[in-house]
Amino acid sequence: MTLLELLIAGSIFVVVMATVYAGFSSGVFGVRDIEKKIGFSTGASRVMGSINRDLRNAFIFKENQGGLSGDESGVEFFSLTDLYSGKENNLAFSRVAYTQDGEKLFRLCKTGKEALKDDSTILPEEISERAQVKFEYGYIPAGQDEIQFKDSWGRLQPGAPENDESGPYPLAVKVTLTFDGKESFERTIYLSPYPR
Amino acid sequence: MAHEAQAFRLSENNRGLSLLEVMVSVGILAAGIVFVLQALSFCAKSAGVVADNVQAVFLAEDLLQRLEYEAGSTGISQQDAGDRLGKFLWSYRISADPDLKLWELKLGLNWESSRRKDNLILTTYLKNGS
Repeated sequence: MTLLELLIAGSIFVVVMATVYAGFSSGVFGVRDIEKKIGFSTGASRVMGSINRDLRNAFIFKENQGGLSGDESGVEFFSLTDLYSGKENNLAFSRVAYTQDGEKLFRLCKTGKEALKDDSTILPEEISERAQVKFEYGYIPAGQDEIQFKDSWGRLQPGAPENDESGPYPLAVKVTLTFDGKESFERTIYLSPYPR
Repeated sequence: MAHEAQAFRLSENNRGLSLLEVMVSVGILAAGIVFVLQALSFCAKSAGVVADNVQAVFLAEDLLQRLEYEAGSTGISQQDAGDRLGKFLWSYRISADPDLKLWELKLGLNWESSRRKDNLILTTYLKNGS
């Protein structure tokens, strides 16, 4: 074998190896990307479904108590939630809260008498580990037709004044879910007319 | 003489690969890799299509809830409306259904993802004041 043949063979080998490496590495990253995207879509569907179901079943516990309170990163309200006991599915009187902690999104659901206890020991369940949530609260200002959104609703601190436009519930809640700071999903959930 | 002939036959059998053969092999390998990458790219596009479908369902639900709210508060009447939100083109038609004494709502969404045209059509009924 001459030096020239050896050089050509070496070059061809390098080209083939580089192509194979490029193909495999982009393939591996491609698969990861696809898995991520599908995870975002199914995650968004699950989280939005849960928030939508809870908000659509929201109700007022009693006058001047039990409305919705929330800010950009969390919201709390009374709702009727599904309660499975044995083979039966019943609606349970519940206090539901969604809260953000870092990249994790939690849902706390206290049913029955626990819903009225501030010192309840029920722990929140994690419903997404990579979603950044943002809540905005919709209302129609007096004398206007268009819905406006603001960053908070209700009494967040004891003794703080209630929002001007309020009523215990906003007209709608806009929920924005962002995964990995890139993929965003948005919904504007109109509350049932009954709680307002 | 016999030894030389045998040595010649051996070298004929073990002559290795020519440059042409190597190039053909590389070509076949490259075609295989391209095929695999195409399949991955197709999967990535499909994932994008799924994400768009999820967005479209969210938008359709939001529109239905808004119209349900309008029916319950100010009331609705016969109308056509439509607009664009991002890549989604939506339109709806509300018409009276005299038999059911309800308003029939037909909602359509059209969008394009990865050069593929998709649509979502929903029909439901609304009642004023409900």
